[in-house]
Amino acid sequence: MDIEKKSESMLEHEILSSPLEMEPDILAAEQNVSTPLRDSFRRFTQDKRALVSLTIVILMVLTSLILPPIYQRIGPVLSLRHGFLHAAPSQYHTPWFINNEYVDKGPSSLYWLGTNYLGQDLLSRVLAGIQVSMLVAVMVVGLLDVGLGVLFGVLAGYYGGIIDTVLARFTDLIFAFPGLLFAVLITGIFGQKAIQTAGNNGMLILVSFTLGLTVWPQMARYVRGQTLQLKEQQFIEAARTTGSTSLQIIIRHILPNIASLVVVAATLDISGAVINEGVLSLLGLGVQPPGSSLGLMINESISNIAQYPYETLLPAAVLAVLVLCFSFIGDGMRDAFDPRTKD
Amino acid sequence: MLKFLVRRVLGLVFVIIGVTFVTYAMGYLAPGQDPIKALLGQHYTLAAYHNLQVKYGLDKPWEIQYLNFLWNLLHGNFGLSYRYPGQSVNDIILPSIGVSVELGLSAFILALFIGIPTGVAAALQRGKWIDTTLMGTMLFLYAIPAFVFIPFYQVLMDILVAHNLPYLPVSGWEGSIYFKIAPIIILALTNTGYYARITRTVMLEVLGQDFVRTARSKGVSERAVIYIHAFRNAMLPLLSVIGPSLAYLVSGAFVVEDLFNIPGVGYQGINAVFNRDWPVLQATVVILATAVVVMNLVTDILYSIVDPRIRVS
Amino acid sequence: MPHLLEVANLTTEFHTRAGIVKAVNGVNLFIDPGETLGIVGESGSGKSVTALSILRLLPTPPASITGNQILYQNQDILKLNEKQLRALRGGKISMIFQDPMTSLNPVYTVGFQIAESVRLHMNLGRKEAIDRAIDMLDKVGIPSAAKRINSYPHEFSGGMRQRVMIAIALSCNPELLIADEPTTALDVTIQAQILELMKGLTHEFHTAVMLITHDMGVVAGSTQRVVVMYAGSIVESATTTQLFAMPAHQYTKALLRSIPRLDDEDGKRLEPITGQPPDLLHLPKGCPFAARCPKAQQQCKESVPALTEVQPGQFAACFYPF
Repeated sequence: MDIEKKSESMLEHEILSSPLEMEPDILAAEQNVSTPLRDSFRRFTQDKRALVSLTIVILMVLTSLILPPIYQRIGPVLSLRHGFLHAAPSQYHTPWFINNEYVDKGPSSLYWLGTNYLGQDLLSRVLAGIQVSMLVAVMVVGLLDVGLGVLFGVLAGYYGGIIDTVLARFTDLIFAFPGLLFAVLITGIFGQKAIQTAGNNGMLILVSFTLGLTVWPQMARYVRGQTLQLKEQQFIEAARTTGSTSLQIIIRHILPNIASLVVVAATLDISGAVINEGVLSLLGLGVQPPGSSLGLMINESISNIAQYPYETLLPAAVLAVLVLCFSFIGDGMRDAFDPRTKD
Repeated sequence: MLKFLVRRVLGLVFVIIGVTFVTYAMGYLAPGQDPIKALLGQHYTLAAYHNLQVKYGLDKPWEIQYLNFLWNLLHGNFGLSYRYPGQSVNDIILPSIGVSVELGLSAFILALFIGIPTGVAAALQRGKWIDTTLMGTMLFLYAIPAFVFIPFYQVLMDILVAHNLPYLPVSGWEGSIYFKIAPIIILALTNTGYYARITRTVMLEVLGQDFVRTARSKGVSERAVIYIHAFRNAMLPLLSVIGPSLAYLVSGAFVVEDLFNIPGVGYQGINAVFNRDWPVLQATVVILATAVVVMNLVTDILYSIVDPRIRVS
Repeated sequence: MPHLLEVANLTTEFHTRAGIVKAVNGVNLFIDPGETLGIVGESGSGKSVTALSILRLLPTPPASITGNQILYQNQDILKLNEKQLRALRGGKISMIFQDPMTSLNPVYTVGFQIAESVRLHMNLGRKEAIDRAIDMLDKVGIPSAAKRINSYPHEFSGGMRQRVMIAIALSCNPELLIADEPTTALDVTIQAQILELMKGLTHEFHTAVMLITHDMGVVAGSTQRVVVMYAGSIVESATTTQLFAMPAHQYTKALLRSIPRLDDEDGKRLEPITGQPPDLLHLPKGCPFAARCPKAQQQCKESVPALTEVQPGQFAACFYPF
């Protein structure tokens, strides 16, 4: 094996593999048949359940983004309130338009998925609800969970000292607020203010912020542990002896090596964020009417579930599918990236 | 062992003080109308206002208020309600604790007794259809939140009623055991799925270890290998996830108590939010947080009993 | 005298996603009562898998044993039912493993782990089993045994844990002890102690030993007969004296050349074996050692040499022995 090629494949290996997979698999890397990342990807693509789930999630999200503008062009102009009000589909095919003359209707060509107790369009509300779920997931997991978790996790693991101590104490404190307790406390007390200040956007930011605040310490813990382990590895030592600065080591060696862990943990956290937003809205602490959220839709309809079960089961089922799909994806990712599940 | 206990209890005290401080600070910073004014409503006079302010301790600077809050907590006194004049928070919250304990503890025990054996069974049938089916079901239970199950349960009951079939109530708690069945089962679902999945993973890992092979090489029966050698070792990682898993019970309890109208701690807490009754909300938070922290301590102690490596050091 | 254990044409395969790995490929060997047989070979040569196959300790699947028979006192181990197999394991044939740090159950006292074996096979009550455990701990040289039986594995050092393993293995007076690299994980000074202890106790109990190792020094010091394995097959089988005096197979010769000797002249270089052992997924058509063998001919690459007697008591699977 010529030296150049060897060093290249070693480098590739170093960057792609998680530390548990560090035993150099030079033979495999050289033949270009098996690298840890490629193996993980292969394992993931063989997981039918995860692939189907991923497809469903992508379809649902795309539908929630693409369908509303189309749907708002389809339908006749309605003449309401004895002809005093004319409503175009761009008005009544929105999540908030109240149509007293079409209350609790089943699916029809006018309202594809029917209407709720106020005559609001259920399809628009469900699609808006999916958007809210995704938005919260992105803010909670993408921004706070990954952002803060990785930042503080790496700093605490790499530098230790005061950052580590503060992180540990803060984590202890946050963990003492189990589940939604912290979110209930904060949204309960500050929710009204947030609504007054910035409407449902304010509420969504508050909800995301409180949910994010409770999940990132766990991520930081994972990252810290992995960073501590990596710090002891010889290739980090080697990088240090060749004069790399700490920042370079973190960016070139630590971050790529914790990436798979972070991706897996973040995927698993998504369903939690979606569920928790649902719970808060269901309890009346999240998105407020006339805004929409899957949890809020259940809240609005469950008191009439005996007469109109469909209005509750629809958002519940959509939420269940969403959450289940994210769980399957997360499960598949974990199996794919966990070196212990190697055949 | 004693040192370990003392350190853990000290940590617990620190955490509970932190919780009370955060909780107090949130109540103090709460925006909106002055609670005293709200209480007085149309009977507002300056003198009455001052009277009440003194009675509620709100005339003092915030640090004194917090110390009073702590001092009262130490005496099991959560203060006075902002919403119901003359009522103490204790009157509102204490009866709900028993309800929540009954609901939460039953669900927890149910989850353990269903989840762990399921996980062991799946691990022993690894890769076979039983394993796949059980784990598929358990992931389903774990992933789907209670507030999705409850509407489906209610519709199912409506159908049973409509067809004159035996059914369970969809709301309430006190009265007969029938009220309690569905809430307990639904609250237990998430944790059942979680315990089953963790148990399977841990059992598979333990069954692959060298000492299991040693036990087999000694001629120990397969049953004893599993239950004496493997399971005892699997309990360690299991115990360490039970503490954190209680969070699901708390989240679930808010939903289950709310949708089933069960007058537990979570239910009172949500009501307090809508009544802007901060002392009751604070009490809810402190009670639930303390309960979970104490349960964590208990599992830590159990852990140290099961693991001889910790017991000695 | 009949052999204590006779393995006939043992083949053990692992079914993996990549294909079938032939870990053990048609192995024949025997052990007589009271003797010590060494099995040597580098890692991956199939020596441990042979040992585990004898007690059927490999998980099936992925492993599958397709050998003809493993005769123990005229009983075919491969045909035993669960119950008979359990009576054999630990009672008649017991085993010591490589890593004493992980071979003992961390949550039970060593006393429990010894007594467990005793109660299973010796029909003793609780009290007698404990007495026997103390007795055995004492025999393997653990001081104040009566107190130490209540200790947990983590309270012992590696060497001490291996002594405990020996105590467990010998507690029921087995007729055969399979020791799978029992000293590999230990410090050099401890290695010698453990080997001495095993030698002494097995002599005392008249226990036959199958000693698996990659260390020629261990073979020379402890065994009467040796079997050399390479890529899942036996390449040479001889008495220990014969093997060291006049190795027949080129692989054995290469192995002996690659270890330092005190009587080597100054400045003599050790000769490593060049190349890699064959991939067990795709075994070559001919002799597995041919690719690395300095004397290999065309014939070696085309057909597998059978194990044949090259002089009385010495067998080699080589077309061109010595």
